[in-house]
Amino acid sequence: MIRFRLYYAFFRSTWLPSIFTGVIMAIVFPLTTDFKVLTNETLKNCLLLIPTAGLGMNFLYKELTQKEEYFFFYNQGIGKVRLWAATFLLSASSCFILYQVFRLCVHAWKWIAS
Amino acid sequence: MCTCLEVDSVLKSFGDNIVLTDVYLCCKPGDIIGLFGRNGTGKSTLLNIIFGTLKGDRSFLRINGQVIKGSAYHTRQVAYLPQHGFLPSYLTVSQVAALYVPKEQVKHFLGDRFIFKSRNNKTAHLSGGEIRYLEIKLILYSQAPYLLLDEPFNGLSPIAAEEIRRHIAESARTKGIILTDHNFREVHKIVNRIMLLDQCYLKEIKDKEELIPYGYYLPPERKE
Repeated sequence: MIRFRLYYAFFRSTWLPSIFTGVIMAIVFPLTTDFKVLTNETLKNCLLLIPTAGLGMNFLYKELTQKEEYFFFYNQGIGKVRLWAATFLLSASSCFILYQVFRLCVHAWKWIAS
Repeated sequence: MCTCLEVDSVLKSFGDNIVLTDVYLCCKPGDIIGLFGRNGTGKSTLLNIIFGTLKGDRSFLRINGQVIKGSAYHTRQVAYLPQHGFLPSYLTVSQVAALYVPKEQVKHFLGDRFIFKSRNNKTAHLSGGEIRYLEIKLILYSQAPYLLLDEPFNGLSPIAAEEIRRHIAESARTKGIILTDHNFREVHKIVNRIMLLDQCYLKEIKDKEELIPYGYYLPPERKE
């Protein structure tokens, strides 16, 4: 249980910066210029970029400025690779679930509107 | 089977600079080993090699007779207090204690007079001395049977240092402790073995006067 809480504490420390980076990149570098599709595509890109580019930038940031914090987890037997692998899995699955919930809401809205 | 931590044949160089040569160190529960040496002699390097965060050019580690092939920290048999701070700034003192200290000891841990008043503060809001004290206590409460402390008395007030010496002596009843520090006056009160790193080699010091040439101990005539 404590090990899960350690993984979760690390994941929480990466979540907000990843979201921020993913959203900024999805808005600044849109993959489509069609405005009608933009909103859907932007959200899809956000949720794709958060666990990839967002987490990647966070990894670089921690490697350059907060490398000492890894020792907090090393002392509990958790290595860097496991930490980031678990964080990526949690982040990717959270984004996947959020995207499915969004799609469900869109379908529900269309059904109510019709 | 030897109940001890043994590191053997350690060789480490950084480029052309050889730092450690054929280093052997054995630490049993009950040992408090003081590791001394001038700046740059490889004290922190040796501790990092034992802990597994640095790979030696050659090294063999055995804990309780079992050869450790990967990094020792994966086994949770060794805990390391690095020279620099390691607490995440986004956690409070209580959260850190809940993650590190066994559940039944958390209340006692947070009741410490140096920790109690800041238990709800984030670690980022603590002073350097408070962080250091907290870090040392967390490592001492660790369940690992062998502890590596790199300059634990850095930044501590004399009262806090006295308290830490008492905790180290208590922990040493069941754990083996290796610590490095330049503050010989603080360290020599608690250690029962002294090791010196000099010119890439590690040797055991039997008589404190052997430390005079290294500036750790004043010769008797200079005490007046």
